[in-house]
Amino acid sequence: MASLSIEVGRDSGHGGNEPIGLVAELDRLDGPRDVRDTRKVVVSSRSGRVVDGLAPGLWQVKLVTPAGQIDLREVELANAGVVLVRFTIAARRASKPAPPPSPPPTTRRRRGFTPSADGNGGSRTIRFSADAGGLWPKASDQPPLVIAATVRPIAAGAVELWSRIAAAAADGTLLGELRGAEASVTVMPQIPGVDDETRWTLPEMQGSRTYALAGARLHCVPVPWHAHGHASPVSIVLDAGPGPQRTRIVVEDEGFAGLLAYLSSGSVLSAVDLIEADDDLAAVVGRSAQDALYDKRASPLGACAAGYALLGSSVPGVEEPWHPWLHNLSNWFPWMPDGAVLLARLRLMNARDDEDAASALTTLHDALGRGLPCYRRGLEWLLQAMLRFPDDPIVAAVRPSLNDVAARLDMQEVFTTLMIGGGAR
Amino acid sequence: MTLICERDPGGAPATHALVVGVGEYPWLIGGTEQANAALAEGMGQLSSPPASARAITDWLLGSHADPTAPLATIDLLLSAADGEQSYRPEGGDTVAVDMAEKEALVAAIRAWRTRCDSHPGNVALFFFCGHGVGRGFDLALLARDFGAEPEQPFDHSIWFEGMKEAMRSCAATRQLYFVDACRVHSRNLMEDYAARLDSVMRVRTPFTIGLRQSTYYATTSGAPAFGRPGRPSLFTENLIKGLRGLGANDARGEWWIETTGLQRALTGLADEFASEDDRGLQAPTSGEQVSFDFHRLNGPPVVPLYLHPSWTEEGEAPPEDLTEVGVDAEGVPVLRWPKPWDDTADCAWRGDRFRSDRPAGTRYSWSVRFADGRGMSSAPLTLNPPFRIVEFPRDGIA
Repeated sequence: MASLSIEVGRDSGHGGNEPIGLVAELDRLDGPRDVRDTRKVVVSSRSGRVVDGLAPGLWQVKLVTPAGQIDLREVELANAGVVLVRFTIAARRASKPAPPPSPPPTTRRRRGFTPSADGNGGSRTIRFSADAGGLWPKASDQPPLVIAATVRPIAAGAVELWSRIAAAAADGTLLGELRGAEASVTVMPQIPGVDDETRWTLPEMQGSRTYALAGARLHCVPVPWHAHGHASPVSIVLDAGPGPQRTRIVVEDEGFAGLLAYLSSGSVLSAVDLIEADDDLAAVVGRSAQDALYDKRASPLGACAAGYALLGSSVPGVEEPWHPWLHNLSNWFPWMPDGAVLLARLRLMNARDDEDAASALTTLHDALGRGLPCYRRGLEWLLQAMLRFPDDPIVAAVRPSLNDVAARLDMQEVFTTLMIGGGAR
Repeated sequence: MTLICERDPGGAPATHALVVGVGEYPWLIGGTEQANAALAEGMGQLSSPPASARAITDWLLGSHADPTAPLATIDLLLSAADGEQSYRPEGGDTVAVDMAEKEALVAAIRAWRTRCDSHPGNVALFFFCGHGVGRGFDLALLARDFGAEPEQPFDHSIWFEGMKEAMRSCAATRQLYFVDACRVHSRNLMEDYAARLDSVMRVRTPFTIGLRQSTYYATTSGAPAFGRPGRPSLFTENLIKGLRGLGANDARGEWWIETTGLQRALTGLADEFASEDDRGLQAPTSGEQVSFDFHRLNGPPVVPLYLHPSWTEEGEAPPEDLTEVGVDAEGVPVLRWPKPWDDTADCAWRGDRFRSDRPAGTRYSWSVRFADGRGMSSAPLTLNPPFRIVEFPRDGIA
């Protein structure tokens, strides 16, 4: 038999130098046509991965990059030999996030295409163009001030809770609320390294929910992040490069970095492949989730990431072995909205009668009462679930506030990130 | 409602398409009615959407093939700024097409839903090209008469996310949505809490068992999409390339377009695979991702095979020290292309690389000949969609 060694390196572009686990698919090309010989393995950027026991012959190695693209290589394997395949993945692409609405500009760019008399209006037309910038912080030489704070649960019903979240996000008073919280700390940036990133490592904080303000960006901080038997640092990173200042949350957990990257790029099926191919990841979030949770080895927030991937690619009406641990995520971690969001979604997908729908609505109320989900997709699924209960008084009352908050989301971030302040309303 | 195609599936699963292209907006800038600048938010007339909708209809009529759900119906709605309210299928007669006004859109969507409800094996295909504006996760697709009622302008729009949610209880278990519209946040929509976004159909529980929805947006939330005067938009043009084969795979022994492969093709076509002018303009994104096949190709798709001499850069001419390039398929020469590199149907120089379009599923090798007489060849590699790039260092083939 033959062996294959797979290495993943990162290019020298800016940003994103944390170790990352990605999924690679091996496919034998010259085997019998009616028998597919394929396997999926997890490859780490920290160290190479050797796959043994492969049949000699021509193999294709397919790596799904964090951006969701496919990088293909072909190798000829010989008996008792090891062949090295090396991939280089680009760092996170610099791109301008979608801006929320801006206050009315004094001058407005011409938008849309108005055909000229001769029909030649140029090669390209923009159909609609908001005034970029808006609430987004302008480029600055100075890194933003980063404040991390934990907040106490607000003793209020879902309607009041979301009304306060929306109002605070709209007029910026959330900053004041965070400053006044019991546990609030200004975090100093680390000295930029060779990757030219400014980074703030967030301290362990006591409290039920942690947020971080970086300039005008409010990040839901996914802490505590425990996985693989230890706590993983969570940082805020300021992307270098042109354009508005842009901060993002980075979880220094190699096992989950690939999963989060796939979720961010919308490569949900690759995220599922990663969960299923990585025994370690599966043990933490998947197949033996209940044991893992009892052992306190698991990361409930990591398990939610897996939940978003698995549920996002599943088919209604089909029972899956991981369905029970969505109940556990919701019941065992009441401070975390995402577990209840996932459970509400699952109940809706599998609802067959009015009783099932009522059960889903109860869970939806529970999720709404827990506040801002840690994951952007959680907010999206909350809104989708609410569509099914337009006549429910709580849903009807919460919906405008939730829409207002959703309009401030940075749609490129996995973790909920809002642009606070400004004149959105 | 204009059923361009109406075939009786005889109770069997079938594909039902609804195709909408809105280019004329009388109440927006440049329209025939009095435009309200505050309401228009800079939006004007478009010539790309009708061309895009016609191109998709052409593809459906001429190329779509799914033996598990053959094409049964296409409902086409158009609003063209040039007044061309018709569609002419290849080899057929010109058909007058209904305008894409709100009332007609609502009727068409409901009728399409009814057709899709006829069998769980049905494929529902929705295509919209026109103006769109966003608010958070919401996307309003603007009908031709958007702005006719300035007090409630969004009465003349379709709430896409709501419509898609409502379709979760439709019997068709395979559903495809292509949204070729901007998703820029609209200040009007943000501020207008009275805006009644219309899902057209009631959102009902339960979800259909076995439902698979796949959604393709031309651009990310909050970002613009781009059209071209009188031609299909960037997204539609790339979509058709993807459907013709760049999004295909032969994992099951036949060449099929599968949902995730199509998304990867669209992403590649908009970025590294795009012309220099169009590269990175818009990032097509998918909604929830599920995998299913929906179009079978007759044979291997023809996809680009590139040779990149690594010492050349974008916009440069082919290297001076090369005199000929060639391609072998399974060891048999199929191309020899000598200097002076005049474009042919078989080979061309594009950007910083040689390009030769070849049938996928075959192993190819590039060969080069230098001015000093040396010749080198690459290792044979299987060509799979969407493309294959062979990097060629000056001192040999990688």
